[in-house]
Amino acid sequence: MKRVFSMLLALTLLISCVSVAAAEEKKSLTVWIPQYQFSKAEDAISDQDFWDGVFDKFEAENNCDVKVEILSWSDYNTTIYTGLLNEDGPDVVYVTDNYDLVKADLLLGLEGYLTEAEMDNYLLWNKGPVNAEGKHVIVPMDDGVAMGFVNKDILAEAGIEAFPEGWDEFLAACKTIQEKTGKQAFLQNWGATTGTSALMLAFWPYYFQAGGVMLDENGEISINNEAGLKTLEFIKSFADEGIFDETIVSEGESIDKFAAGELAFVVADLNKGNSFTNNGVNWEYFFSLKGPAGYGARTATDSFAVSKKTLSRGNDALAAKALVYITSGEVMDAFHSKIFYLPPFTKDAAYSENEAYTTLVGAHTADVYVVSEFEGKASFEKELQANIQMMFMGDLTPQEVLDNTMTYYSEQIKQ
Amino acid sequence: MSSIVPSAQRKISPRRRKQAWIGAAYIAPSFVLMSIFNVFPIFLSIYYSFTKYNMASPPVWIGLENYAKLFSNRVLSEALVNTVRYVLITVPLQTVFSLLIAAFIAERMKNRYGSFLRSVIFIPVIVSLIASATVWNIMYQPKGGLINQILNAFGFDSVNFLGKKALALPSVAAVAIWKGTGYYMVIYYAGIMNVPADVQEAAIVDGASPMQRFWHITLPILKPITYMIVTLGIIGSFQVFDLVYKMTGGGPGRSTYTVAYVIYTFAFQDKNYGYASAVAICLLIAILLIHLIQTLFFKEKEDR
Repeated sequence: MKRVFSMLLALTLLISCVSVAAAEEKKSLTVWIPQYQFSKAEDAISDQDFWDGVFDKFEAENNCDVKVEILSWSDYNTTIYTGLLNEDGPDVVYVTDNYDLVKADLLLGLEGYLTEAEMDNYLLWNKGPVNAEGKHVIVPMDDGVAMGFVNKDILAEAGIEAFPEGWDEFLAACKTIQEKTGKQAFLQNWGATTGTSALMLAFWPYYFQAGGVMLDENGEISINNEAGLKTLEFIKSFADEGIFDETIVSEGESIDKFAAGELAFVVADLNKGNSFTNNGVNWEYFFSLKGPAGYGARTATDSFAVSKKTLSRGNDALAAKALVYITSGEVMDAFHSKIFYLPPFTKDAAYSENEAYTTLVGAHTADVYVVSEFEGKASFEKELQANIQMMFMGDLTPQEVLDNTMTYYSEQIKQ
Repeated sequence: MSSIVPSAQRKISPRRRKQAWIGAAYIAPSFVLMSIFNVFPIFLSIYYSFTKYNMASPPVWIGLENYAKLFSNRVLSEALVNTVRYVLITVPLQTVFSLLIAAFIAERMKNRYGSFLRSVIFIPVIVSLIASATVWNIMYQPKGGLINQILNAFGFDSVNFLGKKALALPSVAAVAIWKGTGYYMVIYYAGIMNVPADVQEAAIVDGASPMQRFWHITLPILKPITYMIVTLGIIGSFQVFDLVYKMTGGGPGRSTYTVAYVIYTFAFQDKNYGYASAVAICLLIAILLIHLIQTLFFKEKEDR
């Protein structure tokens, strides 16, 4: 009997030891983040080194291993979509277009993991999508409003004293600049290789200025309306008046021209200001043009999310904790100062490099629009871009652009 | 008698059986790999083409819905027309150029300069396609691009090669021709070197001119090679994607959309893998049909 008792005791001790060891076993996390460090300066810290350094503290506090993988922007959406489907995919991931990920239920609902205070800390929390259970699945970031840049020297050379913000005024000023200075007035990246890139800067802002709303009451894309027509007529007038240069076939060419002091106006991501300054361009921001319905500029909202696969991996709570950690004011302030400037997107963030931007956007908070996510967005935007290019070439009227795009969307893209 | 002989013939000796097993063992690795990576995906694509599938949830059988939808897809029709135009530009030109260059080197430059020229013409083949596309994009630039600088030097106006609807596709095709000619030239050159010397000598004795020898001896002997080159060219050109993706993004308008580019957008932008598979299967059938017609054409000529 004693022998049996001893054996049972030994067995119990053994099981306890194994359990303790298992409990103490380090959990691991994989984090996918795209490249954001584009500086070629010698002292520029790489994305990998930055994030590895950031996670040292988290690893020590949470007894875990965090593996950060820096991804290329090339086909980023496809990479993360297939990654999130995979059992060995990321636990925490940087997300750009989130519609397909939410529809395929690949992201973890965050309520229950984040405290009320943590959710309240995110400035754009309520702009993020919810899953079928009504739970928020992403932490939206503010990627910054696409700003207008004006070359003050060219404006002065053309004898234009104040920035011409109305649509008609702007067109007239462009013509004056080209006539008086012989320089290009305004270019947009209609030749971008993706429709999304082109529309971000060259369509949606005007659509918002014309009073357009992207999604109808059913949450479906709808641009075949008066605002859409006004927008296209306005864009077409740039081509009709010889303001757009048809030789611009790639994204960035207009920005390069502005940086070279050969262009009066450009709309670009706010980060471009530094390169313009470095090139000696005497520039200032303008928030947006003023269309029939008022001002309107777009902001992009990329985001961070947690994979739903963390539930089966048993590291869901840890992944959510990592999500809160990397989006905290402390970490993002460091990121924005060392890697890439973006506006703060949490209330506890303090870093702001660009006072002029903050002031200007602060005065127009009601005029900042988020480009919505919807089914087949990339293809829709590609189709709209192709049709607008055909409008420039004289093959389609503005109304035909709208009709053709919406018909193709409903018949072929929407599933 | 007839019942005895066949049964005796059917009997396979142990030695032959052993040889058969060894033969099967030799081809097994390639057979397994090809089945997994080539044959199985085709059947899987055929299955997906009858489904609605986004990879996140299991495929849902929808019968012929994808096929019915693609026949009314005007973007796909435009892409198909563009693809055929692209094939009609690239295949004849790269075949003719590679043949002429190979014949010239074989006939007139049987020395180290010929070897050097062969290497130079082959270099584009080993350059990455994306790198080639990037460099050609720069050369095509309307302002400051090399080609336009040359045109300007001769007093011509600059041409917006990639921004004009009529020029964009031929401009992309020109890059494909530049890149593919060296590869086919080497194949033709090897074929020309294998033309029996005694036949050539007999023709020279009979007083045949170089052109007559090329036309009546070299060209007919190279017919199987031409058949192979045209087949490879057609298949490769029907699949054109990377050049378009990098150089024009399908534009301006839809003037450089190709079938492979459209398949890419359906699959990887829309996550509509079932629909993309249906288009891919139609492309496969189209290529097979063209190959069949081409085989019949060559066979008919051979029979004559």
